[in-house]
Amino acid sequence: MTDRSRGQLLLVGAIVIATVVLASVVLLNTVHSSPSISAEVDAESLENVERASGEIEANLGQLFLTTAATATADDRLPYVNTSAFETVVDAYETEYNGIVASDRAFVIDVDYLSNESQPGAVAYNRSVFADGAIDTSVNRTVVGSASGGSISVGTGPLFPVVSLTATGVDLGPGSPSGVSLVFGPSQTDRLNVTDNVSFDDTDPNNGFDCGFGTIDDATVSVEFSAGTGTVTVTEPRNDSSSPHTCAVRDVGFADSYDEVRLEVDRNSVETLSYVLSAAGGDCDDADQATCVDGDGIDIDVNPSFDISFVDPSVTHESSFTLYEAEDG
Amino acid sequence: MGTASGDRGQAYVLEAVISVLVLALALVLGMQAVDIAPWTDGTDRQLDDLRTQADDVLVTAQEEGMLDDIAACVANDESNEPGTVGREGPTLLIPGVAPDTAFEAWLDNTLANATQFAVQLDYPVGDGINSTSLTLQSPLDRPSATASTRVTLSESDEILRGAACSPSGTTLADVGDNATADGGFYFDNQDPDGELYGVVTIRVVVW
Repeated sequence: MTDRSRGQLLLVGAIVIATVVLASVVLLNTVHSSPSISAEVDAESLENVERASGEIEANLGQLFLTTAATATADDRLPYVNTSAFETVVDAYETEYNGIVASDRAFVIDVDYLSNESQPGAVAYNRSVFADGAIDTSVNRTVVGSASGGSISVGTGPLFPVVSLTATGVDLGPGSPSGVSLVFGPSQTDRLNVTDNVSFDDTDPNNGFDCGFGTIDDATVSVEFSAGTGTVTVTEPRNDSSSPHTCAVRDVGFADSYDEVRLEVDRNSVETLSYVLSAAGGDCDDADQATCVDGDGIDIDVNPSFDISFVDPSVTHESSFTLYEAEDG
Repeated sequence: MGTASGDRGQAYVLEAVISVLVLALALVLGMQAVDIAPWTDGTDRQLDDLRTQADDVLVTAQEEGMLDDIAACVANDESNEPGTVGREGPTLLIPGVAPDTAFEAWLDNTLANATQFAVQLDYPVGDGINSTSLTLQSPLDRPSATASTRVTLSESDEILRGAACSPSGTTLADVGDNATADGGFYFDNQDPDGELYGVVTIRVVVW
C-alpha cells in the first residue's frame, strides 16, 4: 500500500511540474504577445503610414510649386528645375524627420526620382489680359511640340495642369464664343468657355459639359490636374450667391498634339489668365505667349517620388507621382 | 518515511493544486474569448472617434491651404511670435469667438460644435524643438486624443500678421537666415541654401 501511494505521489508530482511549466508558457505568451495587442500596434502603425503619406504628398506638392517660384522669381508655376528640387527634397526629408520626432516614433525616406522626370513646357499668363488689350493677337499658340515632334510622353498625363480663368463671360444659350484652348489644329479637342463650359473630344467618354444656365458677366474658373478637377462659376453681381461648381474627371486627350492654341473672342471676355503645363512640349512654336521650357535647364513638370516609412513594427514603401495619369 | 495515510494526504493536496491550476488556466483562456467592450465605459472608443474627427479636420484644412496661413502667421506686434494669442485683436482660435481666419472658422464649424480642443505649434529652435499653444485652452487632466500634421514653409511664402493673418508684404526670404535674432520671424531658416524654409507641426488636442 505504501509503495502504491508513493508511486501515485510521484506521478502526481510529475504532473504538477509539467502543468506548472505548461501554464507558465501559456501565461507568459499571453502577457508578452497578446494577439489583440499585437494587432492594435500594427493597426496604429498602418494608420500612421496613411496619415504620414497624405501629409508628405501635400508637402511635396507645395514644395513643387514653391521651388518653381525661385526659378522664375515671379509666380508659382507647375514646374521645377530638377537639380534645385533634389536639394529641396533632401532638406525636406531632414527637416521632416527632425520635427516629427517630437510626437511620432517613425522616420521617413523620400527620394525624388529625377531620372523619371517629365520634361516639358509651362505656358502661362497670370498678368491677365485686361479689357481692351484683348485684341486679335491674343489668338496664339501657347505651347508647341518639342523638337518638331509632338506633345507626347510616356504613360504620364500629357497636360498635368490646365488652369484657365476668364471674367466678364456671358453664359447661356446664344452667348458669344468666349475663350477656347484648342489642342492641335487638326484635332477636335477643345476646352470651351462659351455658352457653357465644356471639353469637346472625339471620344464622348473623355469630355465634359457643364451647363450653368444663363449667367451674365460671370467669372469662370476651370482647373484640372491630370484630367480631374472642377469648374467654378461665380456671379459678381450677386455677391450673396454661392459659386456654382461642376466636378470633372477623366478628361481625356489624344495620344499627341503638335500644339495648343488659345482662341479668344475679345468682345465676350474682360480678363483672362491661364496656366498650362504640357509634358513633352516646348516654347519654340509659341507665338507671343509667356512660356517656360527646358531650354538651358532640366525641367520637370510632373515629379515622382519613392517614399519609405519605417517604424518599430511596420516598414512601408510606396511611389508617388504628383499628377497621376488617369488618361494618357 | 511517511505513513500510507500521510502520503495519501499529500496526494490529495497535490490533486487540489492541479485542479486549481487547471481551473485558472481554463479561466484565462476562456476570458480571452470574451469581448468585454460592452462592460467598459466607452472612453477608448470615444477617444478613437475624437482622434478620427481631429485627423479629418486637419487633413481638410491642409488640403485647403489653411494650415499654411497659420504657420506663416505671426503676432501683430514686435514679438514676431507665432499666432496672436493674448496680443492685438481677437485671440486666435478660441471656440465661440468670431473667427478671423479660415482655419479658425473651420474649427468653429467642426470640432467646436462637439468637443473642446487646443491647438499647438511645434517649430525648430537650434537643435531642438519648441512648442507653443495657439489657443488659450490647455488640455485638462483627463483623457484626450491628439492629431497632428506637418506643414512646410518656403522662402517665397509671405509672412502674415495679426489676428486675421493679413499679408505683410514681406516674404520669408526677405527676413534673412537668422530671422529670430533679427526679429523677423519666430524660427530661423532651416535650409539657407535651398527654397525650403522649414517644417512645423500643427497639433490638435481634443477632449
